Amino acid sequence: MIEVTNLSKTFRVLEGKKGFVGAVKNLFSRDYRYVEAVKDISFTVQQGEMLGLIGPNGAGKSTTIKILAGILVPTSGKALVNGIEPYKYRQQNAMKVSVVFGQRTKLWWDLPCYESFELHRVMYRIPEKVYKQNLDEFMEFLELGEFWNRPVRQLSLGQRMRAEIAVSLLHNPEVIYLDEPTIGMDAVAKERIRQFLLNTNKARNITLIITSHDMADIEKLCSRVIIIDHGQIVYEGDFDEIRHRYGRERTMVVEFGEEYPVIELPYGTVIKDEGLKKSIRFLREQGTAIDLITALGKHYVIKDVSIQEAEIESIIREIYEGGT
Amino acid sequence: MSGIVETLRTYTAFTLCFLKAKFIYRASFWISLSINFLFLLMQVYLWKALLGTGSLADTTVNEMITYVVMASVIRNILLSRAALTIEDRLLSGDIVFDFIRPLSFRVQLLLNDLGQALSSFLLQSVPLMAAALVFVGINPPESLIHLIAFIFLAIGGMIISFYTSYIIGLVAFYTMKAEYLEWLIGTINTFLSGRYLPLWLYPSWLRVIAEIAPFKLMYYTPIAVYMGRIPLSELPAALLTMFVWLFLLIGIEFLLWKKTTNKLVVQGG
Amino acid sequence: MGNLSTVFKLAYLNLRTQMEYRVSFFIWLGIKLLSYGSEYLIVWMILDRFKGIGTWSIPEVIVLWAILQLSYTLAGPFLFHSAGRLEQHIVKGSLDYFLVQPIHPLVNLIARNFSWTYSSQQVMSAVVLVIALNASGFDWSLARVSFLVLTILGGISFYAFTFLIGASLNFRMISGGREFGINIRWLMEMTQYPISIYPKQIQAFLTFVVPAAMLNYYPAVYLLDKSAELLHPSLPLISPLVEIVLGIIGVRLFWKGLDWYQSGGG
Repeated sequence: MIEVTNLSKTFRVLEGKKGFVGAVKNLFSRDYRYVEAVKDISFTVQQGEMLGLIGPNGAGKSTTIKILAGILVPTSGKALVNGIEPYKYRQQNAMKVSVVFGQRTKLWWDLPCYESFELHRVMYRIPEKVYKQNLDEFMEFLELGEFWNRPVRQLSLGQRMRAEIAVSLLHNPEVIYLDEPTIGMDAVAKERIRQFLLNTNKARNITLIITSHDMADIEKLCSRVIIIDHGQIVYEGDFDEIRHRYGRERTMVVEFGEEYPVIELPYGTVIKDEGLKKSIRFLREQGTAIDLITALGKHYVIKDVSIQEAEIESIIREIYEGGT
Repeated sequence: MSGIVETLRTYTAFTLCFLKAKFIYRASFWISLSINFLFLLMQVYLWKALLGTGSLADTTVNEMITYVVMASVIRNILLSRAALTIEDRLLSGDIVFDFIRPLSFRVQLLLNDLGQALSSFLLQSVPLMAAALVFVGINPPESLIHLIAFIFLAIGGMIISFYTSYIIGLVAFYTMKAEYLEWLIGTINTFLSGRYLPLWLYPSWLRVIAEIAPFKLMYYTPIAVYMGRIPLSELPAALLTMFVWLFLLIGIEFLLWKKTTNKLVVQGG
Repeated sequence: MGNLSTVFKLAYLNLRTQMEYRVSFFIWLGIKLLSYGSEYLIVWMILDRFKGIGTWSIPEVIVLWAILQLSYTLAGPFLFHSAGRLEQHIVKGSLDYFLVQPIHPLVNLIARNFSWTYSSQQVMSAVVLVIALNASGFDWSLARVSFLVLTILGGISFYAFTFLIGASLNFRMISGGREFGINIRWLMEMTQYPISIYPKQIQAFLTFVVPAAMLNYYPAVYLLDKSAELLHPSLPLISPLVEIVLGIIGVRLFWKGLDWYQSGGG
């Protein structure tokens, strides 16, 4: 179980000075400013839960994960992972958790894939039987045999991530943190990873905390979601609820045949007017896109239409605007 | 005409970039300046200890000191980051961006290095000279003509140094390890450039080799000219040698470049 | 402390990596040998004309030089690519992984970056040292040899210090950390010649500010029984100890830097 209580983290950032004069000044004095990456957040995660941490870039997600993983020390507040503070008892914590950073690798770059697995076995003192069992399982499901003997640097992103996640689960951690695990991957590869994570969670009751910019990842994996923005928890709850409550907005971009100065809509509002092209935002419950287009089509000449789903940014904006 | 203006403008921008970058390394900057000076002092005191007030092969202490000071001054402008840059970019894959930028890659490298040489000269060589003049004392140039020839040769030596570096960098495309060649050339350079010891004090067998290779043009030739060890009559020959080597090295680099860009296109990412 | 077998595993993986490039591994060994050999040669070329520097004969000067080299080539494999290139590790993000693995991060960092390519130089420096000592009439008594070992340990410690202090600067996001270490190591070249050739101020600098002279000069004075005008008579014997203490300080600074990185930086 993971308990986060009043967690805060402030960074000291060097203030870069502008221009040549600034650079000279920088020779003699340094200015710092303080950035509150995480402001007083609290939440709990039960064993076996799959939690999604979402929010715009710079919101504080990565910082929170790093604190939970034991990489960063909080400025105030506390985080407990299965009873211990990970940043205080790093090695003890390390044996029971795993971290996967999507953009960096923990595999040994120049050597064949299997060497990294071997290293992991030694490093985490995994008993022979457990290692073999896990490895067989991962080999099968993730088809690691495909590239088992190839140097990691020669693997494609999808293959590398499969190996990365497999390695991370070898020691049967209780918690695994995934920071942008599917970034840059193609749809098929993503699906395979997601499926694997789901199976693993079901089979081993391992807690999964995942951050991703891909809403499909979160949607397919997480039962619960925490939205963080500007270092604070903006929403906490189940994904279905979010979709129903907040993902109501849709945006439709209509290319008209003529430049109509005013458009009369049965519902929705014009949020952007670029002459022939206009963006119309409406709510799901107000009506369907088809109805709206049909209605518009009766009075205006329409050349083309495209529809955008609710973006995480717009959901968050909505949450801020205090949507019902 | 406008091409030249553009080039000058870009060149100035690069130089300013380097000056700025150097300033930001504050402590590092002051320290490396001091270290450079101490390193110079090391050689000066070595020769003082070795020669006392005497001389060797008709080289006086002051001459040796002058030689050593000039070598330190020149050292700063010879450094090229090109080979390292090429290898780094190759490994990280950033090299693709370099081809997209408006300036040709080779011109970029050259401008980079020229900018760095200029800034090193201003920030390191000049203070070093000043400190040497105050604390150590060096001989004045043999004559005005010698001084001018010295400047030419120093600049020529600098470009030779750059192009040697570029050629090494290009070899990196094939072997992915420019470091070896760099070390190797660095070693050879130590011996044949006359950086630590003037060629006229070399054992004869080594001197022969050094005279043939281009490396002496980086240190020995310019300094020897400054000091008048190469008399007026031999100046044209020295300058000619420099131009010949420049031509050769630039030519080799150009050919290698052609070959390499072809290979790169084939190999892709 | 990490699991010893993990350390060995990491060192083995390093060897494998470095030997992956089999041909280059040996070329690299050869080149380094050549490069280091050339440095000896230049010094020898200069000194040969003069039969030494002041009261120091050529072999004795070479002893000074060899002590420096041996210390460096023994410290280098552990520290050059780890603490010496810390900035790269931070940028690559691998440091974060070290903090989440169940072995001591410093051990992890060092073991992962252990370099096997110094072996040729280690052997060469050791051989040169022994030959030069012999040629200088070194007294191979137990006392002197023990002191020699201590001197080398001190040398390794001081080199370690230069790498670690650079790394701790890197942790604090102060740019130029690596250059700082490089600069000190460069400065240390001044002690390849007996520092008696320098004026008193420089000697003091090399003794009390950047104690490079304590690495080789002062111990050599004792080892080779030189009668030299020293800044202080006790210097020869305490020098190795000072260097070892500095090494320990270096490790602590590295630790503090890591702590800082965890709480303030990143």
